[in-house]
Amino acid sequence: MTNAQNLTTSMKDATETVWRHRLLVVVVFAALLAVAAFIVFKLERQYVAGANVLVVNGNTRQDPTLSSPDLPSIATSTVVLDRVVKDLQLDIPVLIIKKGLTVKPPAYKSSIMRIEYTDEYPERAAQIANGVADELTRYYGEISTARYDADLNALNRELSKESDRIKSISQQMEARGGSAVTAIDDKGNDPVAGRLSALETDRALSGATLQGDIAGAAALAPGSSTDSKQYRRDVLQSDPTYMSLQTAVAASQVALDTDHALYTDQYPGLPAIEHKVQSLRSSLNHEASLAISAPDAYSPAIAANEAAKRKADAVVVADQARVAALDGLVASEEARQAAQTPLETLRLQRDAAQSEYLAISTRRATALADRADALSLGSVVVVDRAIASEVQVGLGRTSLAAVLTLLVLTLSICSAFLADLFDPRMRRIAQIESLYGRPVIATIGKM
Amino acid sequence: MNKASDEGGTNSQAAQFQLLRAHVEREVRRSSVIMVTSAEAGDGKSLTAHRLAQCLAESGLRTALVDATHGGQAGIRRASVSLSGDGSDEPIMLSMPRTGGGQVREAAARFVESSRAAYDYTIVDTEPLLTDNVALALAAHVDGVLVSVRVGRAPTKSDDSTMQVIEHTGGRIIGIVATEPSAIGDFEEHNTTGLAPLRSDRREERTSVMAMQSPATMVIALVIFLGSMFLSKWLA
Repeated sequence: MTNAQNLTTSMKDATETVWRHRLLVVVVFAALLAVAAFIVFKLERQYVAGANVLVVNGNTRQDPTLSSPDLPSIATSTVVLDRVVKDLQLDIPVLIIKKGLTVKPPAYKSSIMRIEYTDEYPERAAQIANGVADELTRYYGEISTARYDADLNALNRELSKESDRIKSISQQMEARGGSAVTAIDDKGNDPVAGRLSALETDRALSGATLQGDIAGAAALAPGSSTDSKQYRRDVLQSDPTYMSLQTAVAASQVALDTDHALYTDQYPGLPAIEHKVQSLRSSLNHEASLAISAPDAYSPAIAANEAAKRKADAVVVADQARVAALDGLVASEEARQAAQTPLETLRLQRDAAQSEYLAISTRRATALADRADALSLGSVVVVDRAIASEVQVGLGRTSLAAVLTLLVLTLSICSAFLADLFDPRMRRIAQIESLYGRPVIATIGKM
Repeated sequence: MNKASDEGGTNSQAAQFQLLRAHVEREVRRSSVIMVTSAEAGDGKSLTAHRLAQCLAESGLRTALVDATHGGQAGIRRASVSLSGDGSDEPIMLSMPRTGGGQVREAAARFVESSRAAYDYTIVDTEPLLTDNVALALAAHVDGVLVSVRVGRAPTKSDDSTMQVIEHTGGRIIGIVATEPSAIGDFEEHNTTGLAPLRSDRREERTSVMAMQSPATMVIALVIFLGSMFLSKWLA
């Protein structure tokens, strides 16, 4: 047989096979056609919208944070889709979004990654595709710089705290007076402290003087009293009666002593003399009392002493006034110094806070530079946003019907061959020859 | 079927039988007895025997067609007609006992010898080989055996056994003749040889077999239908 004959025979066999199973073909065709019709009329329309993002990969050898093949997995991750659902306020489960989302990684030598979303509403398809692209961009940036962001956040908090601290100290210093801030001159000397020191020295001297003057005044005090011996002596010596009585007493006493020396106690003159002495003594005492108590009793020594005492007292009073004045000055200076000391502390604290602020700023600048460096190594940028399209996914209804009809027809015909394949009956000459092991020399009938 | 197609089919069959005749003449010398048998009943033995005998007779050869089936009286096989064109249209009577293997073989041998002497070709239509001792006896003595097989039937164990038995008895197989059920049906409807037609119950049995679809076909149809329903549900 030639090839043409073989082909003709094959075609004839195929046709006969289909005709032999025509009932099966018709049944299968009808069933599948019904299913196809059901599919065509029931299948919901689907629209697809896609956004393109540019994937910039830096030196991944230094920073293997992410690579292009990872991006589809990230774009379809639950984290990203959760954020998309929240941002867009969608009422679609994440799993449904994941099902409708298609992320194609960049092709070879390409940096464009396409994000497509299929939905029954074209506007929502575009909205979700753009949402995923935007969220992917943000999330990529986050995870690329996450390790620096934590440091930066901590440094920002520290900077804020130091800034607040500096402001607080400055406000306290302002409240305590700005002049006090300059209490120390250019040479680093404190005038308040110097004045206070001088005042304290002066006050110590004044105190010592006061004590001396008080001691001097105190030394004059015992002689100044009218009960003092000096006063009594001066008053009595200036009284002639007393003096004459004293002379008479002395003379009588001498006479008595002489009689005692000359005579025994049995001498009859002794009592009279003794009586005389006693009488004179009483008169003398009486006169002394009168003289002392006399209003015009005068003692020059006492008067001089009293004048010196008054003078000493005046000096003491002056000294005391000076000391008191110095105490006031010292207290004032001490108050000023007391007011000046916390201000200085505040100033020192402010300087320390400023230094700390500068140090943190330096660290933050370094962290920012590192973050920018990491960010420059790879980034995702939306270059083409999705727009709502009226173009349906796949075939249109008419085309789908045509394709399905063709498919159904093919399947129906194939079912005939399938049935023939499992049919054990001898349909072909080759089967008979194989069974009998002899050639078929004639075929009677339509074969 | 319209007349044109009937004529086309008849012409096609005639050509096929001419080819068969030429093959037989090439394979078997003249004065030979050729037995047509099969593994199963209804495989087109009679069609083959009758048409082959007609072709041989039409080509001017002395030909006898012998019906050795059960259609005759019990114990007797009859040669119902001679198709030769030489004027000696004497019927060949074949008498065989129904029992007794040795007697049957002897009768078969005598029949073959007498047929060889009387005709160029004697075509013997028999029962299926494994079901008839006459056919078995003839197989050992005839000059050639044609095995008829009906296209479209399922193979059976008898197919293998038939070939083995023929070879075991020393019979010579000329070849296999494939017969279409439609040709067999046409022959049964328009038997022009004068021999008794096949029994009606056999024809009905064959018709019912032809109409029945195989279980495999039905299973495949069911699987495809259920698969289609599942597919539509999944897509929806």
